[in-house]
Amino acid sequence: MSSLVSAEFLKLRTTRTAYGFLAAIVLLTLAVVAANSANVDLRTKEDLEEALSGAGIAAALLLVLGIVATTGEHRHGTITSSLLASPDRRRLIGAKVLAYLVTGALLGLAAVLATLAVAVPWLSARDAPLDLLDAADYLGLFVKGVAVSALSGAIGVGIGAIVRNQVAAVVGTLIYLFALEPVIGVISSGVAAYTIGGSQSALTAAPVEDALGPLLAGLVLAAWALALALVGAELEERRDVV
Amino acid sequence: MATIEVRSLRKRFGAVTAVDGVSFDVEPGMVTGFLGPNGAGKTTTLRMILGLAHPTSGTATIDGSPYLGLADPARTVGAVLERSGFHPGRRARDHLRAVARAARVPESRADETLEIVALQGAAHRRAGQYSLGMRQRLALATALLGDPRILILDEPANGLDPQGIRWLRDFLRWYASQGRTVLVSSHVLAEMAQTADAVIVIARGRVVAQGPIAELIAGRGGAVEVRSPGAERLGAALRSHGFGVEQSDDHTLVVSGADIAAVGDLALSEGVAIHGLWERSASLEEVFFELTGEESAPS
Repeated sequence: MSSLVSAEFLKLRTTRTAYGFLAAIVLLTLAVVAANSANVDLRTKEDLEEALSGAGIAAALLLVLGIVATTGEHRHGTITSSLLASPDRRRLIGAKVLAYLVTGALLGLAAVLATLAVAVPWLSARDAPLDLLDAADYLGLFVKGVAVSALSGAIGVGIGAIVRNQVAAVVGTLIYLFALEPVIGVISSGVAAYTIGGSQSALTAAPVEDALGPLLAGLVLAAWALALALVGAELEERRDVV
Repeated sequence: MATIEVRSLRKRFGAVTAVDGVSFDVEPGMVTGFLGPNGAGKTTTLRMILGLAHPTSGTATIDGSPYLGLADPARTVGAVLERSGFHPGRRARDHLRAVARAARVPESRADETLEIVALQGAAHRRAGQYSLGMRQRLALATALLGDPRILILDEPANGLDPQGIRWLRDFLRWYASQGRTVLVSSHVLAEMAQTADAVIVIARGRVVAQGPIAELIAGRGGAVEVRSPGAERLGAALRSHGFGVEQSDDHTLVVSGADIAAVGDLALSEGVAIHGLWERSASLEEVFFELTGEESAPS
């Protein structure tokens, strides 16, 4: 298994895809942080946490990265050599889930660091009440940002294993996240809190109704990752590779 | 003992039966050609041998085990399939290193196999910049990573230039001469006639012939050709003795079902001079079209 995970990391490092995502995550995160810090009158601790939580973009993009990487094997035909080298498809999906958990954690860390590096000096220059946050709050920002990014990467792998067509998987996921989930939210905010987007938001301090606590949101997201990976692995096992 | 054993393999896609009860053995130490027109079921059969497609029924084993049960697949089998691909942005050497890692083969094999297929000069180019022929060679390098005992290649000559095809032929013959097993599919007969020792011919999902090429050709009706200034008279005499006769030009007859001695004796008794008399054996191509019911050569 470790050789498979390490092969996944090598695949990831040897195309420009991951670097593109890293650049996009950092740049978009900074843009959002700049907008938040500039527009909002930051008074409460919650305001500050929202402004400093830079992982929302990272989580969404890591979902897409996981999908792109997994469906890319079918799109480019590399799935053939991957499976000839290591024919157990469940193990291959398992290795990808682990690899994109770690990748997500690293890119999430980059997003949080970039956010703090820019937002803290800026906010303190604007005399925002940064002393409302203690070390534990900062630690919480790191843990939540890394966790949501890691789990989002893993969820992307599961989705990509279920829907092999790259365009369909990416577009379908974006439609689900940005069109369908808001509808669910309108119908029942209690149910929406347990969706992928809902539990991501709870960890990125985005203001949502009936948000789950961070620990529960993390567990819900992990359950999504596990369930999608299991379904994806089972489907990959049964389907023919063309 | 055969290294690849296929038994009653069947594959249906909806209403279409792509592979319809195929059985054959592939022996080590020789190149076995897997021949058939496009769409005959060659690729589907190979995919089932390699565990990429699930048979509707039947079995395919390698050294007695299905591909999915092999302890060390990359060191046992190397395969190139038509859809074997590369990420266009990944450099050739990195592609090989990643597959080597997954296969638990030393990464130094990446450089060794690039050298075998003469791509060491292009090792650091991205696969997207490769020509079709280079992609075929990179796919072969991928198959060779584990230095496998069995090579399975699906239409490997596609996209290769004449030198590349000759190189491939020599390489496959050398590989088989080491006691390894080589199974190569093709729809190009001329190529296979010079490369393969034995062939399996498949048409419309069924095996229509298999065996050493020489036997296959010998088993099919050859003919005797005779050139004579009295061709018409000789032809009439041959027909009256029950032989099939076709006149190919003013002075030449193609006689089927006869041997040289019978034609010569008859010419003597008819008092017809003979200017030429020889046996014509069927070519692999003729046998192939006879077996597969194809009318004319597609390429």
